[in-house]
Amino acid sequence: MPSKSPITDKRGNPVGLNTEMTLIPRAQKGDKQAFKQIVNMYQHRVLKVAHSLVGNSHDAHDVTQEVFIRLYRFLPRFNHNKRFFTWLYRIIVNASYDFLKKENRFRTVPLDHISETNYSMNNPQTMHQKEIKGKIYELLEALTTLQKTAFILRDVEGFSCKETAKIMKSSSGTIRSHLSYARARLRKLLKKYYPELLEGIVE
Amino acid sequence: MKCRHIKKYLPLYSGDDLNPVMFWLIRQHLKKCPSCRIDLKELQQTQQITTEAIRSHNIQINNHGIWNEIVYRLSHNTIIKTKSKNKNISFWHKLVPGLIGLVILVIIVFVTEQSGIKKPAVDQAMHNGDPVPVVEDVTDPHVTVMTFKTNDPKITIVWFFKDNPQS
Repeated sequence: MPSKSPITDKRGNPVGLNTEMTLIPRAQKGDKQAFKQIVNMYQHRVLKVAHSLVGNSHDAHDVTQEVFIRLYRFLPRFNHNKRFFTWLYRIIVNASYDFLKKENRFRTVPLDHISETNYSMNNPQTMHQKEIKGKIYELLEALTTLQKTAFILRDVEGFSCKETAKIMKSSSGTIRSHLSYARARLRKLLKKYYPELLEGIVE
Repeated sequence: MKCRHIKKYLPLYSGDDLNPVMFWLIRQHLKKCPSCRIDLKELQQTQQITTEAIRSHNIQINNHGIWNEIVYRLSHNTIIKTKSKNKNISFWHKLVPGLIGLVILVIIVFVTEQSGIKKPAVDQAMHNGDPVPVVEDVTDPHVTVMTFKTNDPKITIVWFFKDNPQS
């Protein structure tokens, strides 16, 4: 079972003796145990982000492996003046994009592809939380890859616009534009397919 | 500002991604516009639902764990090669265009030397100081005119031959 540090900071990053600050220099020197600890520390988070970007858990596992293999290869080049977390996210985004390009899936799912029957649950009481999660992931597929990445990094992972721009190698203005479209589109989709979730919003 | 302008900025307002001036302008508008307030609430609700759903979604890691897969792939060298800033590659990237340029330059010089851009024989002969015969076209087919140029451009020797220049 993966060992998880019990103490974490605001974002859920482990804090304590076995943090990235101590593990990275050891892993850079070729300490496999230290690298294993880094893998155990971040695998859930990497998997979750990869899942959001590539759309399913099986592919997310492949991307996660690729992320850690790249991490192993590029770790000796890591500059300690940079933030490890931002650097790791950059690897995740790149690995996911490479995977999507390889699979020829670097595009959006047309709205017609989202079948109406999947969203015909008009009774909110019967709609389980788990089902909603699954459907939200399907709605995310209707966004472009860049919009989805911006949304995941900014809204879900809580990076600032500037950090998101850095991870995506883009400008803050472009990221704001992607974010604006992503949020507006998600609202539109949610309103169309899950009107009951947005019901009750009155003045 | 009109509602249609404000609505464009609402997705950024809901995520607190606007500059302070725009933020203030929209806040002022929202105070007096119930329609935009509903739009904003819907946006905030959407954002809340989606982010919570994604954050709380737990994905089960394979039983054998990711570490074993990584170790297997590292030991069997099944790594997808990616573009990297390899020092040797960057050296070759610099060297190859230089070599190509050099080869092209050599070819140009060689072709120029071999083609007619060489010094004409007359000029060469003049350079040596010998008079050079030049056969000129004359309308009479039985007459041949040969002009001998000398080192002095003012002096030209002209010979006329009838039928056979050797005679």
